[in-house]
This record gives sequence, structure tokens and C-alpha cells, in this order.
Amino acid sequence: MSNDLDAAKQGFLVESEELLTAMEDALLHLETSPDDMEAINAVFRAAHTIKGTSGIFGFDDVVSFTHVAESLLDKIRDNEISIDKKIIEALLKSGDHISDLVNEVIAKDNVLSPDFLLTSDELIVQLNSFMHTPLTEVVSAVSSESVIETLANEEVISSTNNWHISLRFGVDVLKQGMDPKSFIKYLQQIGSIISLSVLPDKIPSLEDIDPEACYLGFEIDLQSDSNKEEIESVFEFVQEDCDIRIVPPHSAISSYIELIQELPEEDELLGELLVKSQVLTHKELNNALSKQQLNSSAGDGKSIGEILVDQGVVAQEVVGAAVEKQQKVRTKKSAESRIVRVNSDKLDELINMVGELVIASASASLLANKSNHTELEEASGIVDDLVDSIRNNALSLRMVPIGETFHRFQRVVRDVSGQLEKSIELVITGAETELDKMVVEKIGDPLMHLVRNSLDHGLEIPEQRIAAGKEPQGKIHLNAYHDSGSIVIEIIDDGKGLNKKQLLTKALEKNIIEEGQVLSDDEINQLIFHPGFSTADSVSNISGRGVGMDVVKRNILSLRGSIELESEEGAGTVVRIRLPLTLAIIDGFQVGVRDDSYVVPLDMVIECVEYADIDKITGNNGRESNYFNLRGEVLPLVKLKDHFNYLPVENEQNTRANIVVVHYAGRKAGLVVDQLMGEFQTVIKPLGKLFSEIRGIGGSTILGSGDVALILDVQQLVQDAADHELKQVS
Amino acid sequence: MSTDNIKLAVLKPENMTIYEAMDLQALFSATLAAHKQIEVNLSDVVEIDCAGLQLMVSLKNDAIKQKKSMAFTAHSREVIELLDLFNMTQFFGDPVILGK
Amino acid sequence: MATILVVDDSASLRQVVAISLQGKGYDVIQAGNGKEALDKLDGKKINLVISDVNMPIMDGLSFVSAMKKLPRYKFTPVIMLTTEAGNDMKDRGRAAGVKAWVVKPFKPDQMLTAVAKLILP
Repeated sequence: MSNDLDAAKQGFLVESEELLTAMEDALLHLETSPDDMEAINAVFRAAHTIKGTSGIFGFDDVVSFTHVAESLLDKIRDNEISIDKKIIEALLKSGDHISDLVNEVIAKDNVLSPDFLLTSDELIVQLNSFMHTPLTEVVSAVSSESVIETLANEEVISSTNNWHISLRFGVDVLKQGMDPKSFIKYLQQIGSIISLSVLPDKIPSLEDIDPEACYLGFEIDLQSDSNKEEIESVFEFVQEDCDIRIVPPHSAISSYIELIQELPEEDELLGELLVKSQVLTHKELNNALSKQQLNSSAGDGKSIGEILVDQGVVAQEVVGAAVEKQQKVRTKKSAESRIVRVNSDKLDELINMVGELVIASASASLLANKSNHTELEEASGIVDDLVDSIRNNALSLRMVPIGETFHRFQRVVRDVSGQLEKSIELVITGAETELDKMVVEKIGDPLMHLVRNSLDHGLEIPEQRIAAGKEPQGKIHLNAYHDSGSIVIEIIDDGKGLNKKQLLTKALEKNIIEEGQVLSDDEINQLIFHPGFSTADSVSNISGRGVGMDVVKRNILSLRGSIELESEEGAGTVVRIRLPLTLAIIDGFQVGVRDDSYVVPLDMVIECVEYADIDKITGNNGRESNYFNLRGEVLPLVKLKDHFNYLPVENEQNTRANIVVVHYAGRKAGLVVDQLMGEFQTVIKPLGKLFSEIRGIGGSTILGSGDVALILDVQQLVQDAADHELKQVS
Repeated sequence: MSTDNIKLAVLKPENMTIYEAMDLQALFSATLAAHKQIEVNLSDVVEIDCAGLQLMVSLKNDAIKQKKSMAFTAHSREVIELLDLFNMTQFFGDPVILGK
Repeated sequence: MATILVVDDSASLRQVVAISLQGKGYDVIQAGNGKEALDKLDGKKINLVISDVNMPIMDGLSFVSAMKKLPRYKFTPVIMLTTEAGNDMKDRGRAAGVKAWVVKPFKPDQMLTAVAKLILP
């Protein structure tokens, strides 16, 4: 039970996050279209559901806060209050606060620190200010009872110990699925029934009876310690249509007489019943009846039964209206796909094991191939294929669309543009592009920084934009797409772009470049990623929180990704992040250098050529240069042997060497290796800190044979080759 | 159904809830119109609610008015339970035998 | 054994309600919205429906109206969960054939009490 409950709580946590995200989206949408009932409903529903579910867990602090937000939303829904920027602002803050509250009560077992309650109070004051209703609660219902009590003092008191309950059920109770039987049975649970009489006289003949209507009345004497409210509540679901009278024990005789006269049955019949159940004595009854007969003349002549029928008619009209309304109900497409929630730890564990499986199956197939046993080889081939599809499936489990991450920026853009008094539109494309959930988690912060940067430094205020001949509203565009085993994320703004002069001056100031150094436009742009370089003249609240672009770059590199920046002064900036789709397993291409194995991610391999066949380019000094001509394209060569400082060996022949042509982010290079060993699935194991300084190695993997192979960091190698080229030129 | 006015009709309804009420009313009326002696065997009644009970009362009352003989027999446990709860065994006056 | 269909868009709320009802010996079927609830009826014997009002895809009142049109569930009692026990909502509920309201938020015991008034396990 407690485990189930814990699981339910965790479920609630996830649920409320989703609801709050939906709430935020809807609120942002309402800023531009405040009349969208659908969106108002979505916001209301979020608050409503969270309040309801919090209640059942006993999270009363969440309930009381959410209640205020919900009340406000209810009034907005009923068009009593129209939604405006201020309300949206307050509701956005409330959403954030609800999220905090839910997280806190679940983490701290329903105990909140005063800070949270203080924030609750502050926000409640704010929310209440939008609702101009007086704070008076309904105070009524007390008066009638006190009247009875004063009467009781003066009158003859019945000696009975029992409650007397008179029930006349409404005609429709049966149709509504309520059976008087169940209420009577429930009465037995809160007390014991001393006497019970059914009044069957209202039941018509077979000719006239509506078999689905209810004609029953009951007179019940109940011995119970419950109070009147508790007994009344037994009938709460039928009280509207039923005539229910409850007379407490030791009540004044007059209240019984009143009862007799007000109920539709013959006075004598009821009186007899009361006498029978020892509520009244015969004498009391007779006295009372004669005394009161004088007073009981008027009355509106309508029996309760008639009134009930009247009410039935009303209900029928409402039914008609409801049917009409129901036909209008939109046949909204079910947006909810069938989803099973799985703890991400379990998923990681699965993927780890699939990784091990990949290695083990590689080892098995290696042995099978060595065995020269055809059947074994075939069997192992089938296993390999299956492992391959398991791997793909397992990895796809962790793939999530980037849209959710992008969506978060709606709020950021809104808030920041408000603060900076800029008008900014966020455009999102490629939201459905998928990538590894682990990558998504790690990309959030760098993206946030880049977006804030664009908002703060890139986009201009409307006046400046108009002066520059642009639309007053700036645009920031988040885009994503797949490209050769990577996902590319672009942050594009149509702002003022980077000021190259300023960049150069600053770089000189900070001794990042030297006086007289010639830099290409691209190189100038890349300066922004240099450690200790911040373009903002002053550190603002929006960006520049001490975290520079260099940190962004480092984070992205640590994900085996890359970042580049294009900027045109006056027209805008594009920041392009390239990330591997997954961090766990890749298709690798295994190559050998001497006795060592290296793995190149297969996505990055274009082709292989024999070293002996290539058209080597002769350098200025007549020696072989580090370039070759591939069908008219000049590409740099990276000799892995040189790159990793293998000691030269005498008489080593380069003739059997091969070149693996790789590409990364539009750049190509040839890697010179000794052997080509073929494709295989590679489970990436991160390298320890010890190896982090080695350029060109991205990780390690274990081969089927049990040997370790190093995974080449192609991005770095291509980059180094390009840098090398520059150095040679200058 | 027999149109013979003398013959005894034995009805053996299954459940007697609001879901069956329309059919039961029709059955009871038709049987009452066509027969002088009616027996309703309640042994198969597993579910009975107030709608069923009302029809029992209605049939009983009509039979008495028309001076026809009418009896409920072989009450099932569920019927007995309901009659007990409502103190109505006496009202019908039929012998109720507990247990099967 | 009485079977109760619990319809609410909050899976965790459904879970808690189900745990407590099952503890009392009721059978529980769950659905996340009205549409799903209609699908789950599937001719099964349902003794009671507990349904939220405000749900995506198909709200509680539309669901109850649709359910009551099915002969099998014409008289199935319904407890409606709502935060607003206002008259407007009750009128709409009445039209849909709803009489019993339990106001959210509620504690599991409150739900059990409400259920016990209408059906026994």
C-alpha cells in the first residue's frame, strides 16, 4: 500500500509538471489571443486537476494555494473577469510556485518551510486583488435551528431517544441510479434502525405505474450517536428531489405535529405510525392534532408529489438543452498517444546491458568466424542481426523530440522581451527532430545561454530596428534537423549581428590576439568563444551571468559536439550546434595503426582509398605535403601515426596504408591508417580524466576480442588539420 | 400465453431491477388481465431493487382489487433480505421460507 | 462484487481512489477521460461511475450523457467529482443524469463514504 502510494506520488509529480507546462503554454498563447476559451480551459484544468489530486494526498498547502488560482480562473472562464497581461504574469508566477510546492511537499513529506508559505501568501494577495469580491463567506442556515431550540424550551418534550426520519423519495431517484435501499442500508452503518415503515400507498396500479419512477416513502426511527448533519448527509445525493425531514431525539412534540401536517399523507396515518414507533403517545397526538387543526387551513394546495412532478418537467427541458449542446461537442482528435512511463534509470540500465550484449555478441561472432564452422557462423550472423535491431530499438526508446526543450523558450522570450522592452517573436521549426534524452538534458543550459545572448545583445529595441530599416519586431528562430548522424540545432536571430571592430579591439585588449595579426571574418566571429571574452559592455541580468560563451562551447564539446557562429553585421547571427544523436552506442568503422585499433564513427566516413593510389600534392619545398587531391578536391591528410606520436620504425612500408576520408560539419579530411578492419557496433565508454588532454580521442570501446580500441574524435582531427593548414599558410 | 381465465399462471421472473421494470410491468399486467390465479415464483431473483418491489406491491394491490388470487412464492435470499429491511413481509402476507 | 469505473485525467488521483476502493472490496476500472471511459464500458457490469468533470478529449458530463444513452448503463449511478459545486454546474449535471457530487479536493475516506451511500461492495 505505501509503495503504491509512493508510486502514485511520483506519478503526481510527473503529472503536475506536464499540466503546468500545458498551463504555461496556454497562458503564453492567451497573451496574443485572450479570448481563446480553449486556452483558458486548459489553464483552469491544470489548476483544477492539481488541486484535486493534491487533496487526495493530503497536500493541504498546495490545495489552499491552487484554490485561489483556480477561483480566479473560474471567474475568467465565466467572463466575470477578463484576462490581461497582469493576470497572466501573476498566473505564470503561480504556476512556477505550484511546481515548487508540489516538488517540495513530495520531497519533504508534506512539510513546507516558511519561505514557501510566504511566497504562497504573497501570490494569494496578488491573485485576490484581481477578484473584486468581498471576502464574506455565506453565513446562514444557523438561524432556523436556533429557532427550534428556543421553541423547544417552552414546549412539551418527547421522551423518545430516537431520531425520527421521514423520507419521501423523488420520482426520478431510481432513474438516476439511486436505490432507496442503499440509503437505508447505509443508515444501518451509522446507527441501528429501531423501526421502519414503508408507505406503499402512493404506488399506482399496474395500469398507471411508471415502472421506472419511485413512489416510495419511509418513516424511520433511528438510534444513533451521529448528529443531525451526519444523518442529513446520508441523503445528500437525493436531497434535492426528495422530501427529507429529520427530527432529533427529545424534540418538542410540536415538531412532530408539524411533520405530520406538512407531509402529504393523511394525518391520521402518519400519526398512527408515530404512535406505533413510540415517538408520540396517543394522548399527545390527539391533543396536538386538535390544537393545531385551527391553524392548518391555508396551504398552497399543491402536494409535494405535484411539485416534484413539476420539477421533473423542468429537468426534461434541461435534458433537451444538454442533448443539443452535446451534439456541438467538438470531435477533437485524440492527441494523447499511448504512452508507458518508464523510470529513466531503468532505461539507462537497459541500454547499458544492450551495450554489453553488443560487445559479447561481437566477441561470439569473432570466435564463430575463426572456427570455420559454417553453421555456427550462420547462427552467429542471425544473432548479430537481432542484436543490431535490439540496439536500434533500445536507443530509439531514449530518443525524444527536441520540441519540448524549444518550447520552454516561449516563456523565456516572453519574460525577457518584457524586461528589455523589446518586441520579439520566437519561431520554432524542426521541433519533431529527435535526439537522445541524455543529450537533451545537457543541452538545456547552453541553449538557454545562447538564446538569452541573442535576446540581450543580438536583437535591438524597436526604435533601433526601425532606424535600421527592419521590422520593429525582432525574430529569434530555433531550428533543428538531422545531418549525418548528428543533430544540428540553430539559434538564428535577425538582430544587429557581431560588431567585428569591437570584437577585434576587445581581443587585442585582452591579449587574445596580437597587434597586426590578420584574421578571417570567421576567425573573428569565433573569438567570442575564447575564454575570458565577453562582448557585453556591462553584465546584464539577462545574459552574462559570469558564464561566457567559452563555457557554452566547452559544454558542447564535452557532449562530443561542436559549435560555430556565423554573423553578418546588421543582419543577424546564426549559432549552429552540432551534437551526436546518442552518447551510448554508435556504428563504428574500425581501423588499425600498427597493432592498435581505432574506431571512426561510421556516419562520418565518406569513403576509403588506398594511400598508394592517391594524388599526393607536392609542397613548395618539393617534399610531400600533408595534402592530397581527391577527384579535384584538395583535402588535408592526418597521419594518425604522426598525430599520436608513434615512434618511427625502420623499413616500415607506407604502401599498404589506407586513407579513410571523413567529414564533419562540412569539412573533410583524410585519415591515414595502416589497416581497414570493417564496421562494427561500438559501445562508447568515456575516457578517464587522465586521457582528457589527448587531442583526437573521444572515448574508448571494448572489441569482441576483449582488446580496447580508441574512438577517434573526428571533429577534433578535422579541426586540427584545418588549423595546421592555416599555420602553414601564414 | 393462455387466454384461459381459470388457469393458474406461474411467473418466474429473473432479476427485478429498474432495468427489467418495463418488461415486468407489461408481463404482470398481461398476466393479471388473462388469469384469475397468479403465482410469481421468486426463486430466480438475484437482484431486486425498489423498482421491482414497487411492481410487486402494484401487482398485489391490483389482484386484491380485482379479487384474484395472487401469491409470491419461493422467495430468493435477495428478496427476503429486501422485504426484511423494509419490514414488508407482513404486507404481502405470503409465506416466506428461508434457505434453499 | 460491485464494480466501479473511476474516470479522472489525473492518473495518480485515480490510483489513490482505486487503492482505497479496492481496500473496501470494490472492483475498480480506471479511465483517463470520457472517451477512454466509454471504451472501457464494453458491456461490462458497472455498479457505479465516479467521474471528474473537467477532462481533456471528452469531459465528464459529455461522457455521462453518452453513457446514459446506452441501455445497459441507463440507470448506472454517477458520482461527479468537481471543484465547483455551483448551480450552473449542477444544472448541467442534472441534465446529464447526475445527482451525486463530491467536491474536490477530497480525502480517500470522504470518497468511500460517498460510495457507501450508493452501493455496497
